[in-house]
Amino acid sequence: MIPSDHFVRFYNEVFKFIDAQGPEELKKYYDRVSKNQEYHCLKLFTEEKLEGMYKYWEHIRIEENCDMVNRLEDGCYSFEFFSCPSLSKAVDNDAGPCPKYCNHCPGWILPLMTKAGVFAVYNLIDRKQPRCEMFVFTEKERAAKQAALLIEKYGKDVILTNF
Amino acid sequence: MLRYQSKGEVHKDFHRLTCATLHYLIDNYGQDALVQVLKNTAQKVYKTIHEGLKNEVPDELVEFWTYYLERENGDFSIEKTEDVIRLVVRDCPALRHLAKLDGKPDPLMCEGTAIFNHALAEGSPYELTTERTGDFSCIQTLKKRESEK
Repeated sequence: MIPSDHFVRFYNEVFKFIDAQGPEELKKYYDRVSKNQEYHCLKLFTEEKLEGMYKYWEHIRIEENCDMVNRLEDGCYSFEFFSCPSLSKAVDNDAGPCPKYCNHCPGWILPLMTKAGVFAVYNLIDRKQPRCEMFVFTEKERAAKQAALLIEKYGKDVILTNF
Repeated sequence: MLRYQSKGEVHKDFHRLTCATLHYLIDNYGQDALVQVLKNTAQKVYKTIHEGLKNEVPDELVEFWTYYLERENGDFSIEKTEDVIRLVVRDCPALRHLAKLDGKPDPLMCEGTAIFNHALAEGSPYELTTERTGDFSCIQTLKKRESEK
């Protein structure tokens, strides 16, 4: 049994293998993960929108021991990871991290956000640091404004959106 | 001394993701992909356990079994004799969690464990075999290869 605590380090090896199979292969895999994640969150996100997202990531914050904050204010759900437990484990790993490791989170989250009918902006900040943040809005204009602000500050390569 | 020690809550839903990932690898890239990824995991991620076996020091493997099966509330015991160390899993926490989520355990998880164990002991004087004994149970046996006796 691979302990659930060590899933991340196994996952990291999966990413390395799939990435080596071709340029579009990781995208296909993220789409499958996103489909699987619908089981856990699509109903919650679709029916309760931003409140549902707050509930989901609050559960994750506790169960995955995350150093993060969840916010639901002024029509925006956001989270900020100060020390992502996932990338931290991928880095604390004798096999070494996959350089694209961070991409999997927006990879599964953004398609779900589209299905839930909301607009999300994901900021990876720096793929070598265990930090990231996401902002979700119900209005596209507000999300676009947020994306523009973040692109100006962090650069286009680390800002991903579903619109 | 365990190379990786986790504290705090346990997020058992990762077992479901592990299982889905094993299926994905087979469905899209074939059985060899499953073997390759699990081999890399066993020999590179768990490098210290793998090296320990190669150096005839299986202590970290035993510590690994004990620490994580206790953490996940598995029902198990470890039997040691002079030549054999046997992990007897009476109720596997990963399979039990899959059954809770999906209604039944998935034997591919056990096949994955067998491949992982084989790779962990590869190149060492030991063989590490995995025998499925029921829907939620197995016996994993570490013993010297015949050629090493």
